[in-house]
Amino acid sequence: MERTVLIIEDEKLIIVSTQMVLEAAGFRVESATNGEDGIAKAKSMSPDLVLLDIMMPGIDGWETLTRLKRDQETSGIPVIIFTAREHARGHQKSAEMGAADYFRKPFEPDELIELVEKHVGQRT
Amino acid sequence: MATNEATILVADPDPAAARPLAAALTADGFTVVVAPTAATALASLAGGGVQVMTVALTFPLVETDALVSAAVLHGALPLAVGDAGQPAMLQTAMAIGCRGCVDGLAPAAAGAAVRSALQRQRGVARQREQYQRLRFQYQELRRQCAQQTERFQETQETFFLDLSRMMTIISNIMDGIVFVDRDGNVTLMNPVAEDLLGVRSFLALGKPLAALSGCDDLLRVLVADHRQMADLKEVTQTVEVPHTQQDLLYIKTITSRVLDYRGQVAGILSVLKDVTAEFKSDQLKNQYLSIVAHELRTPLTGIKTFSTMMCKGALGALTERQQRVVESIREQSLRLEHQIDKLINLGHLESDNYGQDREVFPLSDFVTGLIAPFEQPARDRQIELQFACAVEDLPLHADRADLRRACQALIENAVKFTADGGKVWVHVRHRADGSVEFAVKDTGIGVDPRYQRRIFEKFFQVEDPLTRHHGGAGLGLFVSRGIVEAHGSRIEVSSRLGQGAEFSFALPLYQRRAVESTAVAAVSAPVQQ
Repeated sequence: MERTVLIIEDEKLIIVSTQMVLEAAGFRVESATNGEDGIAKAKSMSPDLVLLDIMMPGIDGWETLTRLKRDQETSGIPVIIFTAREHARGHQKSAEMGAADYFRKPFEPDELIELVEKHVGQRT
Repeated sequence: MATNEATILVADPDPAAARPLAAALTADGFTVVVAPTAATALASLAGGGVQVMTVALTFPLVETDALVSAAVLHGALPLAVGDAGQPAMLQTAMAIGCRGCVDGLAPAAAGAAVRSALQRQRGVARQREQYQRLRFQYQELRRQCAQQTERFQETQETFFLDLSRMMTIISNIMDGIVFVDRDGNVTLMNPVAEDLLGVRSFLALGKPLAALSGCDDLLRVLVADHRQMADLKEVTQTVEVPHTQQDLLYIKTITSRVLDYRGQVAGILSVLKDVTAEFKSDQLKNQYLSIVAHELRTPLTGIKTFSTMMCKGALGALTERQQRVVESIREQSLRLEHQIDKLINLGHLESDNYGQDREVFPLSDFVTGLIAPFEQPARDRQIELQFACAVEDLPLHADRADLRRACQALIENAVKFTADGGKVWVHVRHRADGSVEFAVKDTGIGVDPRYQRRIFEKFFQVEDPLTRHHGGAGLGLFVSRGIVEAHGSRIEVSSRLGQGAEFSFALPLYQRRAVESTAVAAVSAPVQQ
């Protein structure tokens, strides 16, 4: 069965490059460029994993994560926080808020695949 | 007995009166010298050895006077000879300076009279001597007392001068000062402290801190800090407090014990520093760094990912030349990423809030993959890279990412400065004191002793930046040192030029208490114990 990853990220460049890496590894990739769209897509397509950026216009990644985890339809989807910014206690905070992992950009393509493989399908 | 008896000069112009008196005294055992004239009497007195002089009042008054004075002068006891039965006689004798009377009409009793006069005189002399001694002692005491008083006044003057100098400093200092005595009552509060705490000192003095009201957030923090003084010597915190005239203030409180001369706690002193400006500039700097990081990393992510995918052939086969160029793009993007990380880390290190990201994690987590990024570069240059961990799995209390950065910077340098075919060892082991040591040893070019301190300076390079062979911005060791020092340790270097180098540092074992006490307030700095 094809595994789907949803990328919620406002930077087109990141979406394109991440999509390239994940598609090469055999994932189907969908994307949303802001939190609201991301939440809507997560509900409609029910992906196997969400890659979530923190700094986005409109509702930010933390808020998006909170809403995804609050909604019964999406709360079981593993979310990997995906950020280019330095966040104090980012690792701890994301874990406390229910994220499956925390990953920093720029990334090594192999590491990203490894991480996605680790969490994908671990739906609770 | 005769030899012990005194010599008596009997001065009397009338030989008929002198003779029986002299005879009676001689018979009584005294040595007697008779002087019929004032001149002979004076000569005898001047000759010395006379203890008693009896003087007849039949001499002219002038002569009697002279004789009595001479007797006193030469230490002889003057006694008048007269009718001792008459009260006026004794008065007359005293009036001319005699110390007593001998009854001329009863020579037989003269000896006894002389003896009792002598005895009286000795008593008086003893008393006088005692009096003199007491007087001397009294004067000595008075002198000492005056000296002590003077010294006390001097000390008091110095004390008051010191006190007034100190009070001037305390009331003009830019920091707030609050002193609480051993019973917990406020005994001193300077104007800055009044302003920050929102309490007038005349209302606060003599009361416990917990009973005051004003800036309650800050007062609560002080009360909590003071409670901790039973266990800790000093507590430092930064507190965010609302203020009447400004929106928000950041106050750094430093609370410590004050000891008396016996080393016992005499009270607690709190210093309140307004660090709002520093705090805000720190916040701005961090925000700026964070934005810069985001803006640089986002395009870098694209470059890195695309070049990696191309290198792997995921976008189709490349010619050898294209492959080389794309690999170079990838390498340069990695280098750029590394430099951005270092710069951002530098900003974090120089911030006052550095050290807030500490957590407790197992050592095994930390050492996993520690040398991985250097294995390929080392293999490429035939450098043997060895890793050995001789410590059981212990919990570490540190900033995980930073500690890794610090260690990896040391490993990176070791590989960088070791010639092809050399060797690099990474050791994790216990030190004698039980702390965990991280050591990186190499067979590289070594560090000239002249530069062993300077290599830790920001942007310092041993080589001339224009002609050097090794890359880098001169930040690696600076950042490592900052991280290690922020963890309460220091990096040690042992090296000789051309003979390799060893860089090491040790982290104390994690103790639960250290973590708990840092978590007292929302914003808190590490506690110094």
